[in-house]
Amino acid sequence: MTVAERRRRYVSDVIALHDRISLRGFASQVSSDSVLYRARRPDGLLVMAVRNDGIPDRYLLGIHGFRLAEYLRLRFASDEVAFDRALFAEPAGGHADEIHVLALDEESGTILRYVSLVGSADPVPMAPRDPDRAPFPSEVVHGINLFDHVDVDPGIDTSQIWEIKRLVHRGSRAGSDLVGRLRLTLELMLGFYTALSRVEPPVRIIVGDGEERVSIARLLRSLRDITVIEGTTPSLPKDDLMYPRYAYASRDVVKAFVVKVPQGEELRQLSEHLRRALANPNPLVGFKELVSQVGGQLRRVHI
Amino acid sequence: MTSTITPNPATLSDFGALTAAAMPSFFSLPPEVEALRDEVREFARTVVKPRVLDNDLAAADDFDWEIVRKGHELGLLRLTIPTEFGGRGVGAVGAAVALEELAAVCASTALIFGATILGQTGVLASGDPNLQARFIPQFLGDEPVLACNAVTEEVAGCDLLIPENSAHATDVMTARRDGDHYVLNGVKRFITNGKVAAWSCVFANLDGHQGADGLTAFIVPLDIAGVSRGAVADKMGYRACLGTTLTFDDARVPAENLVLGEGNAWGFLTMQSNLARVSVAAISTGVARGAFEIAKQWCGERVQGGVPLYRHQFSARKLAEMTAKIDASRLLYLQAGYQAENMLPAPTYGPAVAKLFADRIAIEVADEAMSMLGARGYCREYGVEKFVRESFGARIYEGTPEVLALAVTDALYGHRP
Repeated sequence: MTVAERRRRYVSDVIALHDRISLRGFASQVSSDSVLYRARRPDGLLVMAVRNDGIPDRYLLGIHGFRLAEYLRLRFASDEVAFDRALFAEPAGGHADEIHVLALDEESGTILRYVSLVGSADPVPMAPRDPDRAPFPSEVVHGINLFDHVDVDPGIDTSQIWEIKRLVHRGSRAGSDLVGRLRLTLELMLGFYTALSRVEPPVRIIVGDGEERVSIARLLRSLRDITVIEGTTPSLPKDDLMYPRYAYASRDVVKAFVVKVPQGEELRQLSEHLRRALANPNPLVGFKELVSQVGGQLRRVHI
Repeated sequence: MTSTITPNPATLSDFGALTAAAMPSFFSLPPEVEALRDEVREFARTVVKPRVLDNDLAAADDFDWEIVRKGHELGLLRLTIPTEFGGRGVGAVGAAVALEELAAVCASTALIFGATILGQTGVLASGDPNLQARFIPQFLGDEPVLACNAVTEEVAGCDLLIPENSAHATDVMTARRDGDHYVLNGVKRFITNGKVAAWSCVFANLDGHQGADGLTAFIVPLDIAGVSRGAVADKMGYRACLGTTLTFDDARVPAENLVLGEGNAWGFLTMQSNLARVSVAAISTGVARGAFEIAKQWCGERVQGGVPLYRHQFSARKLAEMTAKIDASRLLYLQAGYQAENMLPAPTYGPAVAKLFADRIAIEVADEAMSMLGARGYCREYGVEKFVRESFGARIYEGTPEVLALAVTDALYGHRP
């Protein structure tokens, strides 16, 4: 028996395992203090944004397992590392804070769509250009301090900067209808932006990285004040679980970005647009309205 | 006829009373095990007890998934799973204490969870992180998953429990290596949870080895081609858990599902049996306690000759003997559980003695309880007759008194630890 065959079966088993795991009791088991957003729809869709520290370990493993399974399915995660380290869930990143935004089918307890926000690992807030501050994960990958290249408003410190990560949907449901998928996107966005509006101190900047025609294009539909960093060579060592995400065999280059988050009334308006889009009998029409009303501009920095 | 007997939580044999400051004990349970005991006691009282009679009277193949689901919410299917896998990580003592609490209300419900724990030991004790990662996280979700352990066969029963009998075992299920798979053929009998489990730890003799000399363990998903589940045994007790035949007809199992390598299952089986015997001793202790609590209440209420029954010397003597047996049985299984958790090689003597004693006193105490209730003891609605029926079950599974006696005497004469 070849190791490759064992590895293939292992990955297949891990993906199948997480396709079966139900997190039906999630809503009732998380600490209410840690819930930033909760919406329950008549069709059984549940969208929640919850801080990491309010989620029981068992459910955190379920969430991290979903992340791993979907990244393995997309081949963004290394099957070699997952197999060699016998991973059944993505290892916790050791971030100071993390917010999980999940869209769940409440009856089956399956995660349908997911995105995470991680806070700075600095023990005390620091200036973005301080060379001693903890780098965000995307900065490690791209080998830069983003704020050496992008100016931010004076007074912003690292407690107001978060990184967006792991925007994934359940691959086994990829064939569902377009309107349903769009609605799910809008629901997740509403949960995401509502959670952002409830974080203290306020989130002023979001960083991250992604393929321009995928992740960045999605962000641009609701956030226009984005600076994309061109010219980096993102990479991770081969023994890193996420190594394949930056190995460009058949996909776009992954670029780092910095997004200015709308504040106050502007953020409230964004959530309101999303609610209106969801209330529209044809969410596609509502979505187009949303996109047409979002302001801001895309900038590029070449380094 | 209606019962006047109601649950009385405060009894002489109450486990909580034993650990109370008023009754200091050589043993003190870890705080997390005490907390677990209280949780499971409440679960048994509020969830299991109202369903006991219905489940006992149901058809042999009826299965109460709702009780499993609620037990899973409490973590009963994750008791011995390490916390890094999302389990409760309480170990052999914790699992045994929980099983006593369940068995004091319904032994067959206890065995549904106990059989799953037993099946899990194959994966947990394998030391194979990939095998663990593929099979253990199933239990962290909210949908209950059951496992089972398949040793017993039609011809080879005790021969698969006594290592010295290995070469004499006949018609043992076989495993043949074929490329990167093993092909299993044979029939397993009386497998608790076999009808409802997702996977099983299965013992088979490697092709080319005499008897059961090549005994090898595999983790086998029960939905693969070549595995079929037979009819459920119509048992006199333990009716809430389903004992089933499992047939393997050229069932192909990936080689990575091997537990501890080819031909190494006897050592594992001994270790697993020792853990299982602690659990079964706890279940028997629970059966005795359940029967005793009904008898104690009855003897406190029933007045004959102008005084309650317990004031009659003959009944008092019986009650005293019953509670002494239960307390002794509990101390034996706690000691054996502690040994099983902390000693290498896995001990044989302690768990075998604990099970031998507990199985016997369960029958004796249940019998006495039934006789003390007179006609009521013979009627289903009072609950004692079920404890009597179930007291005989544990005398068979995980080692009969005869098998246990050989294990004990082997240890006495230095042949086993």
